[in-house]
Amino acid sequence: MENILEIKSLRKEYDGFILKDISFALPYGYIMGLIGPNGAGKTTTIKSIMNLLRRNSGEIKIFGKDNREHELEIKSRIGFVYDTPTFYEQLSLKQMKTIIAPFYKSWDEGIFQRCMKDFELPLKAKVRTLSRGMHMKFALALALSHHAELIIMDEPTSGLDPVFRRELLDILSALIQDERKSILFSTHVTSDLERIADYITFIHKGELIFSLTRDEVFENYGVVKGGKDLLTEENGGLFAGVRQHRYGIEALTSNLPEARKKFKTGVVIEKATLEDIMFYTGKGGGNV
Amino acid sequence: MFSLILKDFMLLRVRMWFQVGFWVFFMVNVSGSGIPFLIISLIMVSIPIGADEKNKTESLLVSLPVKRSTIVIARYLYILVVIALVMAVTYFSSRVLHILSPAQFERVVPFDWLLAPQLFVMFLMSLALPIIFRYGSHLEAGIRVIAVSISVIIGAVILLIVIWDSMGIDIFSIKLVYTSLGMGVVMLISMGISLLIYKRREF
Repeated sequence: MENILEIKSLRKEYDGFILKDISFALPYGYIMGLIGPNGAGKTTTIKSIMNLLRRNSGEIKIFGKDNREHELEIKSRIGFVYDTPTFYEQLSLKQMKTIIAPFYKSWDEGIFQRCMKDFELPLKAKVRTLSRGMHMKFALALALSHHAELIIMDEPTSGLDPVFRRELLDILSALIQDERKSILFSTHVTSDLERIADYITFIHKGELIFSLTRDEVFENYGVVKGGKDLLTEENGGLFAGVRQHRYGIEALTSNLPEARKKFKTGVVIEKATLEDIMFYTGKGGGNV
Repeated sequence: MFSLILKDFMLLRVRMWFQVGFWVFFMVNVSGSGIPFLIISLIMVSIPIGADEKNKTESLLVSLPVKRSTIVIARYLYILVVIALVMAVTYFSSRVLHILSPAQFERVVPFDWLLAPQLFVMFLMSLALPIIFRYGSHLEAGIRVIAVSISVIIGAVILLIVIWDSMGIDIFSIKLVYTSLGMGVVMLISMGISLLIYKRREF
C-alpha cells in the first residue's frame, strides 16, 4: 500500500520533554487518529510534520518527499487545521479567503463557495463572531478549496459540542471517499476515533505505544478484571497497565487472545476501549 | 508577497477612522511639523504586528505554502510602503490646504520635515523587527525594553529638534541624504538578521 505520510525515527528534544524515535505510516485514502493524553507529544509530532518545529533526527516523508526539502510543494497539497483559532478576528471570512487563496495555485473558488454554502458559513461574517465549530468548518473549507490531499488537524473536536462534533466527523468520513485523500488528526476524545479512524497511533510520554489499524487494536487489547491473585510474576508480561482496588485488579492486556486462553474462570475479560487503553497505559505497572 | 502586504493593509482598515481623524487633526492644527506623522506611521506599522500577535496568525502564515523569507521581506516592504504613503498623503494634503487657505496654511510641509520622522520610523522598526521575528511581539520583557528605548530616543530627538530649531539650525537639510542612505543600510542589516532568525524559529 502506498503511503501518503511516512515518519521514521522522529526525534525532537525540548527542555523536559523528548519525542522518542516515533515511526508510523498512513496510507492513501485512510483516516488516522493520533491519540495520547495531554503533553504526550501529539502536537509536537504534527508540528514536526508541518515543519513548524525542527526535528533533531529522523525522517518525515509526505507524498514520498522529504518535508523539509520540498516544503512549499508539500504545504500546497496539505490542509492544516490548528486546535485554536488562527484567523484575524477583525476580518470577515471573505477577507480571510482573499488573503489565503493566492498562496494556492490549485485554489478552486467554486469549491470554496460550495463549502461555505454547505457549511452554512456567511462570507460577510467576521471571524470573531464564529463559534468554535464554525471556525473549524471554515478552516476545513479553506483546506478543501485548494484540493488538499492530506488534511492534518490538531485536536479538531476538542471544545465542540456533540452535535458539531458528529457533523465534523461526518464531513471527514465523506472526504475520504475520494481515495487519494487522507486525514491525520490528533485528539483525546477517543470516542471520535472509534467512530471514524481506520488507523490509530497512540503516543504516551513522547513514546510510540502502537500504530495499528482500528481492528487490530480492538482484537489485541482487552481489560482483564479479577482477583489480586492474578498479579503473579508469570502474568506480569501480559499486563500493560494495572489498576488495583479493594477487591481485586483491572489490567490492560495487549494480547487479548493469549489472556482469553490463560484465564478461564473467575476472571472477566472485556474488549478495551481506546479510553481504557489510554487510562491503563498511563497507570503502567505491567510487571508485578 | 503582494498578498501579505495586502493583508497588512486590510488589517489597517479596521482602525481607519481613528487614523484618519488623527491625521486630519494634525494636518489642520500642526501642519508645520513632521512629528505627528511619525506617530501616525508608528501606529500604522504596529497595527498589523499587534494583530498577528493577538490572533496568533504567525502560525497560520508559516503553515501556508510560502517561504519564511517572503513573510519577513513582506513586513519590511509594508513598512516602506506605509512610510511612502504617509509622506505622499501628508505632502499633497498640505499642498491642497495651502491652496485652499493660504492665510491659515502659510506653507506646504517641507519634504525634509516629512522625511526625517519617517527615517526615524525606519530606524525604530529596524531595531524592533528582529526581536519581534524572534520572540513575537508578546514578549513582555523585550517589549518593555523596546518601549523604554523608544521613549528615550523619541524624547531625546524631540528635545534636540526643539533646541536646534530655537537656534535656527536646520538639521534635516544638512545631512538628510546621508541619513537616508544610513537608514537604508540599517534596515537592510535588520532585514538580514530577521531573515536568519525567522528561518530558525519554531512555532
